[in-house]
Amino acid sequence: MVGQTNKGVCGMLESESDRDKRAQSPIEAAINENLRKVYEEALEETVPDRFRLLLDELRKKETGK
Amino acid sequence: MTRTEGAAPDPREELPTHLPALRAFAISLTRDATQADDLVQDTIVKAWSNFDKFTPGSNLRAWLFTILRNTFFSAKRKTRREVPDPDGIHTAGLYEKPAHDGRLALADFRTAFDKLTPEQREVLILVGASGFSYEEAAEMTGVAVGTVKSRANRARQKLSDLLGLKDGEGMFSGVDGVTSAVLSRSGIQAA
Repeated sequence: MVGQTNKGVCGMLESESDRDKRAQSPIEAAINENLRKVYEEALEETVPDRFRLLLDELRKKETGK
Repeated sequence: MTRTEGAAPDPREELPTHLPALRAFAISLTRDATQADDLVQDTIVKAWSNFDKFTPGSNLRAWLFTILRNTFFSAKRKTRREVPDPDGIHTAGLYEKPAHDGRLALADFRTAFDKLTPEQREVLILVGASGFSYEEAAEMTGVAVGTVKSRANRARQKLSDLLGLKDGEGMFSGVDGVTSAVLSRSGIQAA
């Protein structure tokens, strides 16, 4: 997720050390674990068709111009 | 929708791959599937008509998340809904001790998560679950890195309070049921 930001290497190193620091607290790690579960549950839900239809619609408008 | 060989891929074609993440982020902010889907819909439309402002090669997901959260928070400002004081919420006695299997139910965590402000849920999802750095989260939310960090700390603190978790010394000696449950669930504690 880091990669192409303008922040460059310094930002990456800093955030990595932040993560190490955070990993030192078991409660924080436990919270993050649960956050990931909550997030992943939502991620695994089927994306409603309305969005694919919307994208088709937008593409059609685009080519119709 | 054919793509010319060698041409830069149209970022709009990548949009569908980000839909599950956009929805998950929207659900985290709104805590309501219908509102979340409306928010994703608005985000897609805005993104589509603003793709000329997207810097090719930069993080498309971060860009889309930014549009989504800006849409969400500006709509919230318009409706002038009151945001509860992040520190003013009574926290004690909201949760039962875990069931006999000693595991903290994910449902309890979710209930606690729901009690956070949208800003708190946002920062935790960005840096805690979707893998953005503090710097990226700062850029996306338009605040200083230090603000992101303190917001995240306050949000974690509030979750800990709501769930009855105690950090610091005595962490492993005097663990109560909830704490050990969370720890064992996350695989921190050795069996």
